[in-house]
Amino acid sequence: MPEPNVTYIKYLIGLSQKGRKNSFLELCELNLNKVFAICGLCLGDVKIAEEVAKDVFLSAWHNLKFVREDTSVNSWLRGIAVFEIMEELRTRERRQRVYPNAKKFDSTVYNRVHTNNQFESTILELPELERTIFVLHDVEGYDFDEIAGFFDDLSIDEIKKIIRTTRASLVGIDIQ
Amino acid sequence: MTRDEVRNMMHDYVDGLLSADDKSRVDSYLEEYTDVAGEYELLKKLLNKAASLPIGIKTPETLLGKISDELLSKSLEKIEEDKQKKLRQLTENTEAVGEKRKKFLKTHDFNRDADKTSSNDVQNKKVKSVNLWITLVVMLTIVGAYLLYDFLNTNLPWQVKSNYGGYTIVPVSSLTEIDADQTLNTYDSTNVSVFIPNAGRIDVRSFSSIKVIKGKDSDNVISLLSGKIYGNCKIDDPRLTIKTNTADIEVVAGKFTAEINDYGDLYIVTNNGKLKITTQNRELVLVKDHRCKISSSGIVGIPIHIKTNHQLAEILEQINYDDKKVNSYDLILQLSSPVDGITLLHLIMKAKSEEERLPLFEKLNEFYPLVPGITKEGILNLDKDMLDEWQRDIEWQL
Repeated sequence: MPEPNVTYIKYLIGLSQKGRKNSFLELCELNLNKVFAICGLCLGDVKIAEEVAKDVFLSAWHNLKFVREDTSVNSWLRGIAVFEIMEELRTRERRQRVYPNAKKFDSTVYNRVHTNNQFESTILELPELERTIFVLHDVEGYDFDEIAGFFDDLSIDEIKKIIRTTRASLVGIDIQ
Repeated sequence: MTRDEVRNMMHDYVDGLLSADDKSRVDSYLEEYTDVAGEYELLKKLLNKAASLPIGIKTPETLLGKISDELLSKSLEKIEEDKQKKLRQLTENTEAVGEKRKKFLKTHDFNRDADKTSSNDVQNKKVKSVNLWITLVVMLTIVGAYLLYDFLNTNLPWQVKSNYGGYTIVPVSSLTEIDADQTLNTYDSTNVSVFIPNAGRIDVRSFSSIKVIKGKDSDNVISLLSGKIYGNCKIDDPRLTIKTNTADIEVVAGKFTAEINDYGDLYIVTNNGKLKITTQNRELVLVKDHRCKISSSGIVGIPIHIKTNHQLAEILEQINYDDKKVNSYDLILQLSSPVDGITLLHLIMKAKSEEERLPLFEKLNEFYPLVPGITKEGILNLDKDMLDEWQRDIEWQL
């Protein structure tokens, strides 16, 4: 899909802010793949990622009045996505809804996200914590302080260590 | 520096966290040891790849539909929630008044105490008399409070401001305010705004006449006697009603125009607004961007979208709810497009037989497929709930 121009996106935001749901759905469609990709990469399970991505857009709809003119909608949505992903990892609410028989704090992936990209496949095979921290830091560009803010039980040093080990496993080099 | 130290520092290097000194130390090491420099290059490659990760993850095709369904159900939930909230508030208020009264009577129940403690009949009578007086005072207080509330609730007089042109207010008083039972008449090339507190604004156009019937926060009523008005209500449910000879127009939300021509026909257009129209025989909701004619004899026309194809609009203008037979269905079906969704739904409601309804239903179903909870049989049998639900769905998608 070609990148839509900024004026058109601003036009869609304006209409959405006035309550036009069709314009908002068009806005969703333009950002759907990017938002789902980050949910899928972090959560690994297609059904849970779909629930979280849905909630990202619903949350965006309720908070449309806060979108500033100088902010990229894509970055704004990705910010909401990260927030919702971390919320899911903390509470596992959607996991319970989607898989009512699964144990609440179990991270088993029942329906793996499909991808045709080899690098994404490799990331998806990482354990949940390593995968999430790698995606947040090296894919989404969050710094160590921000990531430590998401995890109550991890220090910056511990996060740095996880990043090093994950990178090492991805490039195939051994780092202590 | 050891090899492991350099390997660890490489990560801080690529993350931009190394000091200038450490950077030069790592650079010197990498120049000397090409195998570690190779690892460093691989790490940089990995990070470049991660930062510009192309999306290969397949988004489920159902996701957009789910978002759309959820938005629709949330807006329906909100409408229901608002209704329930109002109902709850009303019940709570009534209960609170009842409880207060009960409590008051209980603490002032001299009659019962007097029966127990006194054997004296005279004393008993006195107590009964006091009780009666207290009840009377309570009742008078309630009536007084209601009258005071009713008085304070009045938002009249309303401010009047001429945007251009001239006007009169009769019976004559101030030209900048209009009160109950006063009539505002405009001249040629005039636009006068009347501001209704907590409801919105009514612009009265040239050669028009309106009369203020009532002005309360919960009940604002004006009468459109002739000419044209433009309404702009910035809040939902502004509690504003416009009465005409043929219909009562209750504003649900938004902007609209209402015009009575020289023959007494009423033309209503909802520009991004929503109105509930009640005539002697019919009640209909005119949703946003639609227009409708009500003839001087009270016959209601079919709602038409303001962007309807010109040829189709001409045909639809000839149809009204009271027509016994419509001969132009084939042409209507041929010319209609998705913007005519509401019109087609009204034609289904208007049609006299299932046979007439079927082709209209099929066309409308093509534009707006039925959502769960609505069935073909229900629509063909004119099930009110299903018709309302489908109208909401179409309205939302328009």
